[in-house]
Amino acid sequence: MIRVWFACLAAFVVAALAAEGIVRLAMHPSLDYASAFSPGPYCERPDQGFTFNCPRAASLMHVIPKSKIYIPYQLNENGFRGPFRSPPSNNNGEPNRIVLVGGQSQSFGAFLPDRDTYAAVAARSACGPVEISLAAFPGMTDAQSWRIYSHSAEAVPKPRQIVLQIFANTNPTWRQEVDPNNKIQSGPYYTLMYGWIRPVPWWITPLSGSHLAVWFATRVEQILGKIFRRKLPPISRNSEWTLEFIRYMSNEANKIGADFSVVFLPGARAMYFVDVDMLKRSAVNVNFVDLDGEASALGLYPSQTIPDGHYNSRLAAFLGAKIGSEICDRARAANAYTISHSCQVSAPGCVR
Amino acid sequence: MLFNSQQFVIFFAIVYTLYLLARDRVQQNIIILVASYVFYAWAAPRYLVLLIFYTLATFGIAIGIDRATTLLWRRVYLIAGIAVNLGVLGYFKYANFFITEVSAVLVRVGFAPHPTVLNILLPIGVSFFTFQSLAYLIDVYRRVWPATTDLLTFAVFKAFFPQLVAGPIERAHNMMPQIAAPRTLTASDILQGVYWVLLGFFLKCVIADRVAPIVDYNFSILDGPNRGPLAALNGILGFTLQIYGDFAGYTYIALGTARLMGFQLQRNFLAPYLATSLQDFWRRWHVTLSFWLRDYLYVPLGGSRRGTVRTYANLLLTMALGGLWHGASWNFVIWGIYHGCGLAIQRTVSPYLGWVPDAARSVGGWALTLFFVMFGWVLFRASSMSEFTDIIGRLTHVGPVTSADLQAFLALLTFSVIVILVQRIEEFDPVHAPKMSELARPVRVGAFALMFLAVFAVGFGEYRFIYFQF
Repeated sequence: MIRVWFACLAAFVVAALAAEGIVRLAMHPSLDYASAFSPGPYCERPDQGFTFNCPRAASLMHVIPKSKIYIPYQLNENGFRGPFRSPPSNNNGEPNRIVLVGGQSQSFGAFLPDRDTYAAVAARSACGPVEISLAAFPGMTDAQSWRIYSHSAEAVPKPRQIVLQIFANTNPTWRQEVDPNNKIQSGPYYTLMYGWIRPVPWWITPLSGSHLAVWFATRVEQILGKIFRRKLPPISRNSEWTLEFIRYMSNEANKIGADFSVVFLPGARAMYFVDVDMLKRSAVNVNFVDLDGEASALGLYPSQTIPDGHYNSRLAAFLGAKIGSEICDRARAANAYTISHSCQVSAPGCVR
Repeated sequence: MLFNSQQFVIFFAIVYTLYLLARDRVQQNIIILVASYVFYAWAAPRYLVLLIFYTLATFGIAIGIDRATTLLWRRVYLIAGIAVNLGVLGYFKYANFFITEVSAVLVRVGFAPHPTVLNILLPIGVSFFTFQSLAYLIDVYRRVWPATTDLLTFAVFKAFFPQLVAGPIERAHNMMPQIAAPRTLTASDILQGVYWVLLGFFLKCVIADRVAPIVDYNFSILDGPNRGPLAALNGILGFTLQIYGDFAGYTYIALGTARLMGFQLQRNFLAPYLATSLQDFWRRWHVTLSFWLRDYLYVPLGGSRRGTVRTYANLLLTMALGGLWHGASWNFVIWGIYHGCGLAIQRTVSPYLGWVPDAARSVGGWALTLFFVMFGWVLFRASSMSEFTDIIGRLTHVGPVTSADLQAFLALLTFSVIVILVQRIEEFDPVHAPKMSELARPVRVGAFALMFLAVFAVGFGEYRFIYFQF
């Protein structure tokens, strides 16, 4: 009898190993031409954890998720998209004003070709020579993006201005996320599968290297989630920790002597329920730009988004022009350089 | 309701519990009938009326055939039954096709018709239960099987939910006695049923649905010129795997759920991709349809008894109609004729191949048959002739080979090995399949664990069963 049980156990182990191979094959991204990114864009960097900014990574983004139309993107040797520079005609002899845009996938320009990202539009609309660096990565929070930037700060020119973009990617755990001693999403609760970061349920963490175990546990959690619908966490505190993060970032900008602005991106209220007015009142020394309100008032949001909620080219052009204008305003206020050139694109908000 | 959905899992759990609690055969049959109607009405409740009409009409006409005292009246009843069944099928499935085609012909000869395209939603599974009804009426007419006077038994035969929407196309002599007799469930039945259900989900979720994106992508003519021969080959190989995984997967889930309730349905797949000739392929692929076409179309047309020319004509006509059965589209008709031609050529050539050694004939026959079948799948899958010419053109055209194509090809090759292994098991015992209860316990544990773990981890996809559209 014991021999039979032992044989059954051995058969189960063999079956599980075979199933592991089958699941690895069946869930391989090469089978899914329609995935948003192909192949998965994330990688492991021993010093940072699981991160998007894999140096020199080149990949494809489907213009609309699950569509057959895609655009390529390429990261530079430091793992950043860009930089985006104003056209040579903006050159007035002054050095480039380096602007660092911090954010997430919206700021990165997910599903947009380089020239349509609003960082590119902002560089074209700015008055004067501008170089925009992006500290913004899909799938990362604002705080994580800042941590990645901080780690590679020496590789990016020192910014004269920091534009922090608030969408829906700030967590109550942001202090841990900016801590350089913590790695991003690595550890027992996350794993990297074919270039995608997957959360690992706590009860399966010893097997987080197994695709079978991770997928199996994910399905179990999906089923349990349907049976025992959990109450959503209270959302009223989003503004509270966002304010703390804004103050932290303002201090960081001060430390390096950069101007600091906060931009509320379209959807900040609807997606994140952030109280923009409260934040404006609470951080009087910070310059706020409410593009959420403007885009909504003009009917650009949410109408000008692709099905997964990312901005399309038209909305990005609007935002780019507005941010270009903000860059000009800050430059003027700081008297950083003489504004002698007109804007290169005609778009609302472009200061001529 | 789709088999590969959480609704079905919950639905079956409830139905099965009630079924096990039922005290006798009649209660069990009532539960099956109600469950079948709920199952069918889930997507489009209005077509439940159609199913009930079909049931009552066929039931009444069959009794008419059985009780008619003269051959003339038997024929009248039979023709009425065939007219009712084919009339409904023709209206729902072929009306728009004929309106469009006739209009096109009229335009060519100089008329300017203004055809009205009917706004018809095809009832799911109408082709399957129409053929089941026709077989029953013809069997009663031929006195192969007596007409039943038990409406409940007949209604269950007609609407039995595991095989209602995509077969197997059951015959009265197989199902009626099982419905009419008390059923005893054994541990062997349950083991076999669970095995088939798991195998079905494995083929559908792990093979067919995971290959489907490649097929969709490579069969699309959008951006086609930018993709090379390997992309086209991926599309063809992918669909070869998908169509088997999808249809055989459905059939095994049907067999398994039926077996769990004590019914034994007919096998529909007997390792088709291991066939060593085209004739052999049609004995292994969609077996119940092949035999239906043979018994109710090919043989009545004269089969091979009326000379060579008539035999070839019968083959072509049978296969063309078999193609048309799949859908109101020329590509299905051409696919049927293509297979009819293949069968005719094989019939002509095979007498001259006696000198070829058996081993060479087996291997060569297998390779040729598989190649012929795969090429045929392009006709079957293409949504238009331009899509067909596009993918065939790309096969012969030098074009770019991307790393994504190469990766996908390697993945498809690995899937092919898995499918061949599954078909080897299918071939192991064509009649009963490997009886799980006769296998050693560790083998059973291993087989069940492998399929369950893989299916659960991969999960249900979003793809409907291909044969639902027929």
